[in-house]
Amino acid sequence: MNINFVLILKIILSSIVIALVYNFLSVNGLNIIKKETPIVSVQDDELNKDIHSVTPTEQIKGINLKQAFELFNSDRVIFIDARDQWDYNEGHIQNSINIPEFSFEPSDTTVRKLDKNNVHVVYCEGDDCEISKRLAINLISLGFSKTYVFTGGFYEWLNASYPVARSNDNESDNRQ
Amino acid sequence: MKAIIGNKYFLLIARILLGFTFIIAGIEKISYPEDFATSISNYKVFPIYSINIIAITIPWIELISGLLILYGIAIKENAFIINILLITFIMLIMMAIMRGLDIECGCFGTRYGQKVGILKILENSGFLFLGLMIMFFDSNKVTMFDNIKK
Repeated sequence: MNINFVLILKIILSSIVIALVYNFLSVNGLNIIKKETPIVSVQDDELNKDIHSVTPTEQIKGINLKQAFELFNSDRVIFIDARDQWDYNEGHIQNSINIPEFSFEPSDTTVRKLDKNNVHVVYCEGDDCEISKRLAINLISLGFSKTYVFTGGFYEWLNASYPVARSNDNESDNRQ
Repeated sequence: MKAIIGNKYFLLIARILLGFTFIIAGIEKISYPEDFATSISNYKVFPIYSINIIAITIPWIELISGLLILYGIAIKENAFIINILLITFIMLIMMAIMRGLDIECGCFGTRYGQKVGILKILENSGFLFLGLMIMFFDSNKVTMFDNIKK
């Protein structure tokens, strides 16, 4: 079996060059380097005003740990875990619900039960996790304008010793 | 067994099947690069900055290898490329299954709603079998050009 590895390299490199040229010329071309989804931080003194605002927004707004905990202790705030069900079962913010981003469907029962008048806080693992942002975008596009991304994620919450639960625990407060 | 899988017409059929599959797969992903990029990121394997470059280049490698193998050009080399791609796809699907990810395979773009699962592994393994047969046994004795010359 004689395989010409130099030829393989030439084929691959030629394909890559053609791909990059096509991408550059294409209307649907992507940025070569995918960047993180931009997120706007909500200032502490603006949070209370922001959650009561009726102005629809398509921006992704980020909140920090302190703001997330403040909302956790408020009424009509639902925390949404965007990770897969395995990560959620192992541990999640207490009373949060699980809507795995990768299997998100607008027609999903859990999504349809959400109340657009509530504030929704979406989180995943932490800072470099994109799925909470993508889920937030999906929810905002469905009209859930009071949606925030807790940028610190589950591990920051856990490290702060804030209330967490595992799926086998009885979570008394069903906020849905 | 070797007489069957080494048969030049069996290998021609294998090349046609593999070639067309990768041509279609490549075209679908080239047409919807953003959807394919989302499929790749759903596997949660690659760093975010690499997602787009993968989504841009892999479909063209599939398309060009598929075309070349279909027309009997550098058969073993293109079979090698296709086999490497298939092995990579199989590993990614297996990892997704083990992690419980209920995600689109992204094998033929996202329009056909194909989820990761055992069937996808079997499908890709079947193609890998064909690719390996071509790589080990094909001798370029029968090509698409033979029909054109006639």
